[in-house]
Amino acid sequence: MHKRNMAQLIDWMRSDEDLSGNIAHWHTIPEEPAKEVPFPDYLDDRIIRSLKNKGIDSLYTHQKSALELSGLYQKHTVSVTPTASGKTLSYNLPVLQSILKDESSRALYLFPTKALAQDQKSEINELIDDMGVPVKSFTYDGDTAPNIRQVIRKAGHIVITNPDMLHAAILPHHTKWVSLFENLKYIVIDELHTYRGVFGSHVANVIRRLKRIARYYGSDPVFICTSATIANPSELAESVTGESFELINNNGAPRGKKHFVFYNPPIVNEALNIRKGATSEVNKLASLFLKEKIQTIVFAKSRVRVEVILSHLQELIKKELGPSTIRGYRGGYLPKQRRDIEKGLRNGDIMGVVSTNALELGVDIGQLQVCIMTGYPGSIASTWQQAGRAGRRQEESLTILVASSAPIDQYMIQHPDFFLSQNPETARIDPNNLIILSDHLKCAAFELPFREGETFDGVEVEEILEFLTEEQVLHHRGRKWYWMNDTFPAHGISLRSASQENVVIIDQTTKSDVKVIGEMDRFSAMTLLHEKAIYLHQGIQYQVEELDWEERKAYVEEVRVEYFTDANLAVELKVLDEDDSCNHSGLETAFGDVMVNAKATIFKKIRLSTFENIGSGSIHLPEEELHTNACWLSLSDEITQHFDRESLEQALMGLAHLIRQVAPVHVMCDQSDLHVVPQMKATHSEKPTIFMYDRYPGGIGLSKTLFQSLSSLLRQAKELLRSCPCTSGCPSCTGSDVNLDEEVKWTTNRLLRQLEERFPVETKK
Amino acid sequence: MKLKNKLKRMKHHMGTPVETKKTPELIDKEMNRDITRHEELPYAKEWEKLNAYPLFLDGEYTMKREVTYPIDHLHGNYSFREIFDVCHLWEKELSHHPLHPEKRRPEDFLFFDTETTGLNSGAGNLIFLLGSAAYDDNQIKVNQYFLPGPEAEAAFYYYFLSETRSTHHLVTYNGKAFDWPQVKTRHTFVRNEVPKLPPFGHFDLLHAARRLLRHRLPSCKLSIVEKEILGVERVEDTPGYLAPMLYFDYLHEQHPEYIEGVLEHNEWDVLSLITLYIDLSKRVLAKGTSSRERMEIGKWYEQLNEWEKAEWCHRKVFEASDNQEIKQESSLRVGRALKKQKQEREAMYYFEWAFRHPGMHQYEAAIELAKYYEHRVKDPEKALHFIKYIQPDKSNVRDDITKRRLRLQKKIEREIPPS
Repeated sequence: MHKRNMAQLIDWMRSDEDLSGNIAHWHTIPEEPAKEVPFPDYLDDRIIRSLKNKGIDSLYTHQKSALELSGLYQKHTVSVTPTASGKTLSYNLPVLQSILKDESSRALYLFPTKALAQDQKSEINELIDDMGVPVKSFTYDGDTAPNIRQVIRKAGHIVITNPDMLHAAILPHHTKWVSLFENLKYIVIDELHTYRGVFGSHVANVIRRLKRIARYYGSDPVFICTSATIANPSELAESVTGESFELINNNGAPRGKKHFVFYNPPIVNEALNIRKGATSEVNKLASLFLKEKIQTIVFAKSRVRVEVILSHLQELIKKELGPSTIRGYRGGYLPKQRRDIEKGLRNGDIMGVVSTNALELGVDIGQLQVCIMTGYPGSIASTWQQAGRAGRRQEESLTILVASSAPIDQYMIQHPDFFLSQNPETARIDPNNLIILSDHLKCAAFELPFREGETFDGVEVEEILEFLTEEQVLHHRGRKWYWMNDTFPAHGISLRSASQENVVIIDQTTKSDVKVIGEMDRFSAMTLLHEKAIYLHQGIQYQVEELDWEERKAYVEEVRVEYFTDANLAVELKVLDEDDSCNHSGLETAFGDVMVNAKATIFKKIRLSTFENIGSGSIHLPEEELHTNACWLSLSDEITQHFDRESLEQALMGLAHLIRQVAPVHVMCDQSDLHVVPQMKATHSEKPTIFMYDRYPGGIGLSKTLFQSLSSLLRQAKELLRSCPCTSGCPSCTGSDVNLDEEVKWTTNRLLRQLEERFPVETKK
Repeated sequence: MKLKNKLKRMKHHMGTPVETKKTPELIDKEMNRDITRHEELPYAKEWEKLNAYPLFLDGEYTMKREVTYPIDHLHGNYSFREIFDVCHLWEKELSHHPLHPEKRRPEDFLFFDTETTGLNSGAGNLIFLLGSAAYDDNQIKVNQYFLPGPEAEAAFYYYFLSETRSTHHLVTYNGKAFDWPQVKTRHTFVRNEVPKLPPFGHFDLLHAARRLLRHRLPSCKLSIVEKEILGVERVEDTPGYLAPMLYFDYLHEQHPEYIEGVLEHNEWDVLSLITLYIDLSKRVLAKGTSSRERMEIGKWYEQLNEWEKAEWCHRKVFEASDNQEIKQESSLRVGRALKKQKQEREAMYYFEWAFRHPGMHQYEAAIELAKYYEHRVKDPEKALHFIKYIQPDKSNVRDDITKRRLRLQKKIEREIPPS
């Protein structure tokens, strides 16, 4: 029984003195009624009957559009729908319809993870079983038993898999999948928004290979994609698949009234601008709701954080509810455990769940009433996804974003308008990254020789094929290029890791249970995995005991220390090619190819609480080379004349630090994907310059995007600086480098003003 | 060529590490020209010396090499003729066995092996040599189809399939897992231009060799089996792992000298398959030439549900061996074979024997005995006696025994009410 209901709690939150002071902003989204349409008469009776058995008597408008466009008119569609709007019917309906019409039809479903694939299999099989038709749908992944693999290849109508399996197990063995490829009618790509950055660029090339094989066997499948809300769903669908798309965004699912609260923990130390920890505030808020028996989901960023919050909450409310009514949910739990939790949430046995972003993806847990985020999730799109977990169809719901002291959180909380008015991020991929492209060309040539004049889904590849011939991977003969090498190319290419030669991180804390806990690209490993480095993995501190650079292995052991390490990377940047540039009276911006040579030199130990330097050591690693894309800002005399050398250096470092914070949000990437390097005297121009470069060889389009939107990037940097309540620069804005002095905030601001004057004035939206 | 330079700069970032050997000279334009007549064949004379000639199909060609051996030729320990004796012996053998030729005669066998450009089973792994040996008119005929370039697969498979009788029964070494699936894979690419793949029967001798020889060899690689078992001594052999490289070199240079060694290696392989079939058959027909081998053959019959044969083998081992461990295992196995034939009382004699002698099979014997006394004789006390004090290492056996023990104890308590 509820002691207080949602509406009462919401009112109380607004008025309670203790809480309301911390509420930076309260945003309300009005409710929406359902928009429904009757089943169209061309829809198979068996499907209609089975839907009616499930209690579905009509379709939402977006489901009808998908059925019509993808089913009737055979168009490629991308549906953008919020959580829990019945998006799976958007593809299951046209696919089932096609199989019922022609038993030989086949469909391929791609999900980013195995768990999601399993979920979908159960869902579609429920529908199929209810219809009583002999339609077979299977998951095909690393766990599939060898004896049923053959059945799936020959007789599976719907094959549900992930891009990695498609890349390494299905496409290179396409001759065993003839009946799938000859009859492939639909390719479903769910959770399209997860295919961005390096991973997305790889997947786009896997899709190019898939289309090439499908064409070879004479089929021309229709793509059906679904995506969470991002700024450019059609563009992303088009660059992942190389087809043109119809956008479906007429969501017809009903929605209750939603409250979105920006909550900033109170300041406990004015001078240092230190706020109360987000975790303890989240504990307090969550237990308030749980005590009232209101179903609540808490998101935290790491596995450890999940466990910490979970144990606190269980302790806090064990009297009101049993501890098993609050559960954790994260990667690493067994599938059965997860199914139990999902079920408990749906039927109301479980009141609260603490989760990593594992529950952000489309796992079905029903709808909860309150969502609390421990810190800004890192992107606008994933914030909306997490918020979407709260909100039952007819009831009011509440989402609370509890800010941490990270600069980006503080920026968001002080600029709710930025968050609310901003389009969700644009997801970028660059399928033509030379390295990714040529790696997949190898795989493609292994699968099927290239004819002269053949393109790779529209991309001219002759020059790369020639190169691969010279490298003795291909053999040019007659009018074709043939694979002529004794290796299996897909095994050397992983879709999910940044660079191919990653350093593997091995946890040897327990000698009897040595295990691999992660991997890292070589370049980042120099500063993060050098010997004696403190490496943070899922919130746990590890110390690197040994780094075997030749073998690319880092051996780590769990430790508990009061400091982190910060390594100094001596970076030399050479501009190789300038592809594009712009001069704004003294401010030159450019984009092009660069060569980065980097050598890790020394590292410092920095105390966690006070950022004091408490020790240092040297690093002995060879120099590394990275050839990539960069965008840069160079300042000429017209600007620098306003600064003395000292303050210019300060301002450059301060600005670089600001950009480091803002840029990843701008281009929707991880902070480590993009490096920002200030130089007082760039080698190519001898001018003070700030470089921003893609951390992936060949570039994945991040710095290119930045080049096109530098003015808004600088505007955001300025807003972050100005809204920071510190007086003379702090880790939240200009950084904490020991070389910075008290003037840094002021000089950085001056520099920003100079730069801003040089860009044409943009009208704010 | 800006792109190529970029690629060269970024080479070390790419997947599959590639060797940077010498850059091959540009392939002669001549080579890309269609060759439609014998006289146009590059290095025709050299091919002739290898007994090889081209076969043409729609502007493509494949090379076929033929070698014959007299039937009395000695390859290793046996002459090819001995297969006839072996087949006679098999005819008298009524029980089922995977090496049994059934109604087939030596002429029906196709001893078959391929050479490929890689060891993986993916679509891009090319077969460039299909080699076979067969009995034909009192001779052994070795036929090799060689792929002169990746463009010629249609001609390659066309001639192999049109000239090979579909009634043939393949005899290979690991062909079930590797060679034949790979033939299927590559055939898919040319399936519209060449005959269908016939549903060949198939003996994979690797399986048999593993069973019978594994215990005495460091590995069951064909070259080791040849040397250690078959008495085959290869001279100047080109090792199989070099085949892909040599083929790549051949593609660039077109001179048959590059693959001459590979052709001979493959020829040798298919001939050794004949000797191996004779050798393995003889071992099975003699039900083993040593106790250890006899036990392996017995186990094989167990899997085939040929219990009478299995019992015979194990009983022979039991009677002949003076090795305690082997004796214990064989008595257990005789017991099981007897039990399967419903001769339980006699089986108990062998189980008891195994139980009374220390060794790693004691526990299994104890369980058999406990089962018998619990379910057949209905004497739980006696049943318990066998498993009361044993503590096996394997956890699953231990769990089984613990369960049994508890059940028996309950049964006993129920029978004798506490006084």
